[in-house]
Amino acid sequence: MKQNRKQISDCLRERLTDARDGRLAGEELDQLKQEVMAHDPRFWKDHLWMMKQAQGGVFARFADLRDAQPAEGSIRRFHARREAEGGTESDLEYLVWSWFRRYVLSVGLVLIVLLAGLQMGTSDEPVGDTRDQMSRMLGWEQEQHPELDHWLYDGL
Amino acid sequence: MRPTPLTEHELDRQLPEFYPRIYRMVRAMAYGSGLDPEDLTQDSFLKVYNKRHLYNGSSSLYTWTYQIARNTVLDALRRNKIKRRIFFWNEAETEPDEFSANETGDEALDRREQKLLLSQAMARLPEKDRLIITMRDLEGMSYDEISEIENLAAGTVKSRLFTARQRLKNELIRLGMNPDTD
Repeated sequence: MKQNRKQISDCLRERLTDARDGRLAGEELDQLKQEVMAHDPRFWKDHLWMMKQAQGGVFARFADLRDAQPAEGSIRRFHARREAEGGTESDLEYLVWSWFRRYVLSVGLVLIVLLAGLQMGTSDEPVGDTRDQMSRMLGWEQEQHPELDHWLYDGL
Repeated sequence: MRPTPLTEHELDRQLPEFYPRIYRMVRAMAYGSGLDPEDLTQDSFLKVYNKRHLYNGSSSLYTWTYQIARNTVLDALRRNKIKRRIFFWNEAETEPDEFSANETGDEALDRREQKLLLSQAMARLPEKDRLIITMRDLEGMSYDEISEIENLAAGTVKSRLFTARQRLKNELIRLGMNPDTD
């Protein structure tokens, strides 16, 4: 019900805008007025205000706002700023970069992922390496290595 | 689909025609925000130049440029609003009136007052309402053009325009305009 009322409101607003643009006249306009008054009389009041303001009223003042012009030399200043900020890529630069982004970077990324995967799959380090790493981490001295070896490899 | 990319040379050629029109929209949108319309117009065109390779010709070059400028201004206004909230800055600021000094007399005064009132009321509207009124009433764009820029059906554009004008009326009344006599 609420949704239906909103749809009717939207439809009436659309037709009232047509009426303001002068696209509705005579019977069509009378019909619209009847529908609007039955739905929400404030719409018609607003419509009349908009019609009045379009002829020399507030809406006519938009013509004054239309006179606003950018300051003199603004296009020259824009080009100067563009140059100062490094200009823009030339068409050839853009083509090279887009080719680079599309192919070199994506192929490179795939290769990195593949190589990382391969590296992880073949990480059977020699026994000595593990012992050295543990020694460094724990701060063990050379003479403590037999103890570490016992702890690491006994029972393997 | 555009067969060849948009070149810098083509944009340079269109710039003198597009620049003042985009500036007017930016100025109307940024009025009272404290943002510099000249800077915002330049920001918009920098984006247009830098993104020109993305232009595919599915809309006119002006429509595409307008869309970029519209988004640039709306983003700047949003950022500005957040900044104002954080630092408790005043809402709307009055800006210098650009009416020429040689306009004198009651009629000129009335026009100046009405113009100021209109600018202030516009500044109080939600950004989307301000934009649709700017496009239709200030720029005189067709409904098809507005539909394309806003990505809306023409009927929706008309309905939203009516609502935006209703809100403009309410703001004008709040600013002291008498709706029955003015």
